Amino acid sequence: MQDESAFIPLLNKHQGILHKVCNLYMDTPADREDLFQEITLQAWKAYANFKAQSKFSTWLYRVALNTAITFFRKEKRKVPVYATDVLPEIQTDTYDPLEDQVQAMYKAIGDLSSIDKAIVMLYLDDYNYNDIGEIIGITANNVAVKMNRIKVRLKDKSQKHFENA
Amino acid sequence: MELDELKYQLNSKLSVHSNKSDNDIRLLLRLKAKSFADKLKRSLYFEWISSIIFTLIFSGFSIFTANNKLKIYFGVFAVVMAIFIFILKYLIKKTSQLNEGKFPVKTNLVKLVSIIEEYKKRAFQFTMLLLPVCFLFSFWLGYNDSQPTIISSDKALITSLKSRPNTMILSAGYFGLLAIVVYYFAKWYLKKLFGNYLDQLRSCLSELKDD
Repeated sequence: MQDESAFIPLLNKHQGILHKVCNLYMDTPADREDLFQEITLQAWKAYANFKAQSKFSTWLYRVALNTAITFFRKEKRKVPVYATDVLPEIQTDTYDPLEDQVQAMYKAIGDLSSIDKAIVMLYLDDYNYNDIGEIIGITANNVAVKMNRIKVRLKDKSQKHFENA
Repeated sequence: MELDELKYQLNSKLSVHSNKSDNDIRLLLRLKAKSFADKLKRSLYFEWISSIIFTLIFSGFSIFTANNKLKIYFGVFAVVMAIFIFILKYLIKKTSQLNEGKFPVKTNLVKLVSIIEEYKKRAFQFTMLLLPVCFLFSFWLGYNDSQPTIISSDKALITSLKSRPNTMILSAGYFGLLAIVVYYFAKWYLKKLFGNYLDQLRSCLSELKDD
């Protein structure tokens, strides 16, 4: 039997990673809750094999992304990604002019494929191309090529979302 | 704007969440996993245990029955089921590796796709293999049921079939039609079970090809 007392505080400390993955990969709160539960369970099952050769956060990202990308979604729960009411909102007291652009970029990221979302998420979390490559299973050069293409696509898409807002 | 200019804000936006307590997480650990790999593993375990049980039952019938025809019939099915015990165990072992959290995304996808393809292939083979086996036995052993020994009646069976061409044509037609229906039904059912999901996984994998 694995030691819950070691795993739970560790997962709790890094639960931000799980929420990031759930926010990006799922559109509705119910789906996010389902995915959070699934990643937690998968991390718990895999925890016995965690050898601390890599950082816990890197290992957790790998488990979380593997789970999110291969998670079986029920079609009936799918909500269009453009629906703004399903995106988690930042609570702000004053109007921030940057917010519309952030929102447009956020929607553009939501339009990306599962793999590109994973790369962007790790990039936003300041992982270097080598680390991203290790988590995804491709070379750092390949990550760099993909990242350049994604940036161009995001700029274009976010501009369109911004104009439509 | 560029992605890099909004990096901090996007990261903050993605991080929006309600904190879960240690107790919430502890409760989550008691729940059943819903991932495709876990569902497949549960299904494989069920089939593996069923295969063991039926192999034992069929072997028991084959060994203890006094009827030679039933001995052969259940003996052959025991062998077929026994083969699947090993195939299913191999698939369970491969599927369990997916829960170890040691593979990067690409390797994980490659392994999951290969497991599903292997499962589909074996399920299809099993279905199609049972068809001629069942047909042959129902035909051969059914005819021999009234004979004292199988071997002595084989010549009589061939002679009898030659003298009744209409029966042969009808039987061949029935078998052919049944084989076509089962073939397409098995293809359709396996596609319905795994098709869309497999396509999604393959699409993810194609994105991960080296540029």
